[in-house]
Amino acid sequence: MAAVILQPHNRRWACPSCNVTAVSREIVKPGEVVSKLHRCAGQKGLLVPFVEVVGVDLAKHSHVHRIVERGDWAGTEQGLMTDADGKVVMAVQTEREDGYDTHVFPAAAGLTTREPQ
Amino acid sequence: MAWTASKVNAQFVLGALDRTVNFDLDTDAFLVALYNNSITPDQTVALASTAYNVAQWATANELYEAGQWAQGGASLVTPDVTTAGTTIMWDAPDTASGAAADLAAVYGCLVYDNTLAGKYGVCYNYFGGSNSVVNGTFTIVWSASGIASFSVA
Repeated sequence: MAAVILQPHNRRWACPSCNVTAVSREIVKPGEVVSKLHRCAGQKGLLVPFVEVVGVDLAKHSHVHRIVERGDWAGTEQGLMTDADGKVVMAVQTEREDGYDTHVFPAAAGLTTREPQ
Repeated sequence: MAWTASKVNAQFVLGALDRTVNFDLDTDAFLVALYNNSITPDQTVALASTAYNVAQWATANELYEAGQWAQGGASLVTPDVTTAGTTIMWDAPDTASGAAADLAAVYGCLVYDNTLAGKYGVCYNYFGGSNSVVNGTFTIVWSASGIASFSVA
C-alpha cells in the first residue's frame, strides 16, 4: 500500500483593523509560533499582525490592535517603523480577552564609513 | 543608566577584520537575549565585555521566562548576509517567544555569537522604550534594514 503524504491544512487569518484576510499553509513545529504581518490601511500603513481565525469568522472586537509610539528620541536610528504620518512606532500590541501579544520594531544597528577629512 | 540606540560593537568589526575572532554571521549560532533599562549599553567596550553575561550584559539585568523566552536568549533562525549596492545587511526572520509569555519592561536585546566560546556580542538593538507582553507572544520584527546594516561609500 502506497504511503499517504499528509499536507498541512489551510490556516485562515484576519486583521482586526481592516478587512484584509489571508490563507496560508505551512508546516509548524511543536511549540513554534507563526506570525503573519501586513501593511494595514486601517492603521495608516503600519506593519501589523493578522490574527488566526478559529471557526467561521474572527469575532468582532475579540482582538484589538494598540499602536505604541516610540517613547524615546529617534536620533540617527536606522530603519525605524513609521506610519503614513511619519510617526515612529515602537510596537503593536494585539489585545485579547486574556492578554496581549506584542510585536516590537527595533532599529537596525548601523555602521557607516566616511571619507577621511 | 539607560538604553539610547541600536549599535554595532566596535570589537566585532575589529575582530572580524583582523581575524582575531572567528565570527561567521550566516553559519554560527546566534542568540537574542532581552534586557531591562538598568544597563547602559556601550559599543566601545573591550571584546570580553561585549559578551553575554559579562559586565553590562550580566544576567542580573536579563529578562526571560522558562519555556517562553529562555535565559540566554532565543535563537536567531537562519541569519544571512546580503549586499545591495554599498549596503551590506545582516538579517534573519523575526524572533518570537512561545505563545504564553509574560514579560515586562523589556527595552532591548543583545545579539551574540553562541558558537564562540567567548559568546561575544555582534550588536545590540534598542526597542525604543519599555515593552511588555501578557499571556502572549513577544516578537522582535527585525527592521527592513536588517539586524545590522553596514554602509560603505
